[in-house]
Amino acid sequence: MNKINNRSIGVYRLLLNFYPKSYLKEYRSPMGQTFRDMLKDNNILKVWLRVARELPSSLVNEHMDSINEGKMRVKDKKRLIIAISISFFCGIIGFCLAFYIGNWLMPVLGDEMAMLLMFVCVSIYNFIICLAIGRFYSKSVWFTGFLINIIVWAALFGNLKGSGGFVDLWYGWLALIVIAFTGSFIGSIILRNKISKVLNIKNDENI
Amino acid sequence: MRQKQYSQTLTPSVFYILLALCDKERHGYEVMKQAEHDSDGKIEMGPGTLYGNIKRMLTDGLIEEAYERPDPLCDDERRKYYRLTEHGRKQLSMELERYNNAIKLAKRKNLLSGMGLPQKL
Repeated sequence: MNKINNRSIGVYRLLLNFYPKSYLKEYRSPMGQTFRDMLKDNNILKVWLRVARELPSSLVNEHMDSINEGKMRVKDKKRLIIAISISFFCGIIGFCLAFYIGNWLMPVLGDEMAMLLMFVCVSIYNFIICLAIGRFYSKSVWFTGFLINIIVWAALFGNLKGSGGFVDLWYGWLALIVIAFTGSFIGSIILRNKISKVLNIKNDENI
Repeated sequence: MRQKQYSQTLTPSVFYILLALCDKERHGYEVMKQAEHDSDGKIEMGPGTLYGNIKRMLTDGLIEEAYERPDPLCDDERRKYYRLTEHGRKQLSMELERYNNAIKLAKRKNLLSGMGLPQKL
């Protein structure tokens, strides 16, 4: 197997980390083997095109499945309700902050700079909330991060609309929504994994 | 293991995975290739879609893992082999029966003459 194929396998292994842990426990090895087999029989470009086409939907499906399975296993529903309530509350606070700060910043810094700064603020805010909620309910770390990011980004885009920039074009909106969605999703998964490692939070299976 | 009764049609991927496994046990990549071959290239799955479907089919009792390997000496132990369960075979037969009925109906209405659908007058 040549060097490029070996690198491809390495990159694919990295991408596999975005799948839920429970899924990877069972399928990491056969998926890696299948990818290796695909590289042996096909052109590398064709293999990557196929992977790129299926990866987003496959990731969403597996995470949704993982959340549903987690919900079924939850014994302490009270904790789940508290975690979701706090997530929504923080999301609303984030929405108000993004709207207020965005309005205040845009005339001062300009649209692009304000957006960049808001992105940093949203990430920090998201990280702190995830850290706090993740202390008592690990599955909610992922859920909270995802929810807060979506709500705050929606507020931010709403704020930018009408500014005359690229956000006013339909494809500008579409691009921002896709970026926000993908960014939130990947960011939340990374956050969840990192925080779980740092705080040694038990998986939902153990709760 | 719960056995889900499919009242609606199977998804194309699930259908072709069941078809690929109906004659022999296969590992993931073989299933993927067979499904692509059987569907004339219309079903192009990647590892994520394939194993996602396999996971759900295992949960629904349509397929099961085959622990004995066809040729243990020249096979990679990381590969997992799968085979159809009785329930899976039954679901596949029901699906094929549905297709068969649809084809009979289409023939009765003269829709398979190779000229496409009749024009509306």
